[in-house]
Amino acid sequence: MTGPDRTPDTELAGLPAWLYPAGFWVAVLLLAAGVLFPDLAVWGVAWVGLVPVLAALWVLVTGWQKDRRLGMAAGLALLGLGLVVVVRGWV
Amino acid sequence: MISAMVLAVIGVGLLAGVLGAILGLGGGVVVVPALEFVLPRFGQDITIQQAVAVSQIGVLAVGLSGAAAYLQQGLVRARTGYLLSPYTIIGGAVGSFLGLVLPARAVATVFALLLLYSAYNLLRGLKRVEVEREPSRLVPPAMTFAGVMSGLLGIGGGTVQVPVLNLLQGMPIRQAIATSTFIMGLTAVGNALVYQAGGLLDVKLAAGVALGVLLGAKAGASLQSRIPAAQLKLFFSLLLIFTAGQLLWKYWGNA
Repeated sequence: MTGPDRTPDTELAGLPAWLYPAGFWVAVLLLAAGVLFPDLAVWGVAWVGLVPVLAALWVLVTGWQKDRRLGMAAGLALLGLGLVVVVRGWV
Repeated sequence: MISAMVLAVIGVGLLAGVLGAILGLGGGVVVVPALEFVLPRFGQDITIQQAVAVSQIGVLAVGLSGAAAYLQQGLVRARTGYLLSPYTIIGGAVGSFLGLVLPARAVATVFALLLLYSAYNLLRGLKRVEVEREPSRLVPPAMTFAGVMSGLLGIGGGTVQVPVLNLLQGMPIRQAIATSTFIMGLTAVGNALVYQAGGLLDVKLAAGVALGVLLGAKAGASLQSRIPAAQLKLFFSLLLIFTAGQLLWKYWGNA
């Protein structure tokens, strides 16, 4: 880690370096397939939403023992999304 | 065979991605008015709420490409992001529900005000602090408000979130921009779920916009150093003011 702008390692929350870049390229492929074959569009859109959820899940599982407050925050974020899934049934 | 309308929708996403990378102002501020302008030219009308719903997927794409780049540069404060994201998710869900129930005219008016505010910020430059300091107690309610705005208007929340993280959370500006981009991904997931449940999300349009945003953000990052940002800022500010006027005219002109 160098440079004054970079965040300390503890702030990276244990996120694996490959997760978002891999998520990006899979999203490009799935969305391109969705544009060419509209019936597949839902998969690309779902994947774009799934990446941050997978990242939060990763942090929750791997960080629970090391940093309970961070694990709780990632869990709360996921719980909030779970709540939205439940409440949206009433829309 | 890809239709001209789909190409135009991808173009909207490309524009949002490129401008987002160069000016830090892409997402809904570009996608919502651009869809309202472009789609009727192909014989497909779209309400502002439908455009906001599609924009939520564009915001997700901005969040994905931004987080990938900023995490690599070590600028994201993921820990702080996760600690603050429950507030933006709750705010986002509330804003999205408001987006479903409020009349289109009300949403359009708030959106026009946001465009004028964004134009003002672009011209004037955001107030910023570079020295790290203790977070203010106002951060949780301010982040919840940022979430409400992102849910209601389909914006990434950067317009509100970046100043909150910088001025109230005391985070240096580059980290504030990166962390805001990171948080907006989780927030937009909840927002998109609400709009999808409300029957307003057209996934085919959303896929086109999101693909454009991802490609535009990649292109924008490499164009960043070659485009004169000052002139682009002036041009884009004038465009935002014009768009705000056009939006107000569309929804209030026949009142």
